[in-house]
Amino acid sequence: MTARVITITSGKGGVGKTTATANIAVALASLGKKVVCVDADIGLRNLDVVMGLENRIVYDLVDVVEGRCKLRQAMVKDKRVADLYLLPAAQTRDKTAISPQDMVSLTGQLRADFEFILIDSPAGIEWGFRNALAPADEVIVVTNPEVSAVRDADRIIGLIEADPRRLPTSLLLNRIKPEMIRRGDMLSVNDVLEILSTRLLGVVPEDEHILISSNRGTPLALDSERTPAGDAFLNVARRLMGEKVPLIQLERKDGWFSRLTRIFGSSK
Amino acid sequence: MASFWNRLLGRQEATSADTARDRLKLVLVSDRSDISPEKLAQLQGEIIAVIKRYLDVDDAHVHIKLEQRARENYLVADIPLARDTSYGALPPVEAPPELEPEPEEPARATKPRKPRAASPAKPSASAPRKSRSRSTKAAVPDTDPPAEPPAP
Repeated sequence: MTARVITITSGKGGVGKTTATANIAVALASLGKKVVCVDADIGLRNLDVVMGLENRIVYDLVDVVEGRCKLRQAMVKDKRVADLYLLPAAQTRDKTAISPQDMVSLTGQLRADFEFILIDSPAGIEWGFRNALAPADEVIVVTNPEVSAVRDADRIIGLIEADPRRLPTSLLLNRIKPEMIRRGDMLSVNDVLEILSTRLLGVVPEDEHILISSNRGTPLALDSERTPAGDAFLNVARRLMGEKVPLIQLERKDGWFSRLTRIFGSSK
Repeated sequence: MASFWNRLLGRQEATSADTARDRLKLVLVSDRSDISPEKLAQLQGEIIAVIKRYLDVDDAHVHIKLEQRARENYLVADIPLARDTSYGALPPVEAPPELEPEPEEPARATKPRKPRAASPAKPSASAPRKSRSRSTKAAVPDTDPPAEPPAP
């Protein structure tokens, strides 16, 4: 077994990197893959709370790097699914506590035992981003359909393109509101793709269930209830596994009939 | 693309998503090429100055801009040439042969009004035929194209 190391990044903060990392990791694990996610956001760790594992952390990434514990001791096992682990970030240190080389050797030790290593990158393009990118085989750029997020995604894609390793990069467009796109008040999926000219990995609709799941610390793929965002993340996981999964039909078929029924107030 | 047609057909105002897209394209072009709008204006002035040594340029309608196609930047110049008054009456509207209407009104052709699309400009023999009337268009990739043989 040789893991694929996938770094999830965005440039801009608050677009849903951590949520995406947690949900993709849980989805992959629920599909039977051996997964570890690494929180590379030293000093501002959050992957633990989104995944609901914050109470079980004993050691962290920096403890491993500085030799206070073995790698295995720092890894928190998610008991709700088989083969899902979290390597938490340190909360009381800053990003300079680890180096890109540390990240490479750390993931190197994990590669043999897992199929996917997901790295949750911090926002920005500085040290933390370099740390998260150093061990990557692939990159997922998360963005939202808004001007600032797309601009930052473009910057990040430019930085990844400038890297001599030529890492395969794909786009995860998060927080789409089909109704706003229909009104012409939100950049469409095609608008964003045209501007960024990047392969599309998935489209995730804005969904209240995301907030509810992070309130509870239960990523959507753990929930038995089917949700729009949960389905979208499950599809992303399938695509990462090489399956051909069509995009969720976000926009309703908007023929003359449905428009007519809306005009006449039918609750369709 | 849809917004382009809407505007062309005068259907509706640009939506906020159209505005977002246009603003993004503009800001990304200058982000990626690292040239400020002022520098670009200066470049435009210098290019026109050079062309003016050889041709009459219609200053008011010159457009030189950076444009993004896929993840490549292009410097696109649209430089209409000034009307050559010594050239005499303009021939009728140039249109694709299959779309050309019957010339039923000879009086129309003699009117010296500005035609919507005129014949190709006299001096720019090498200008692509598809370009707007009396203009030379050039698209120069901002970055080196991979393995392209040198122009003959």
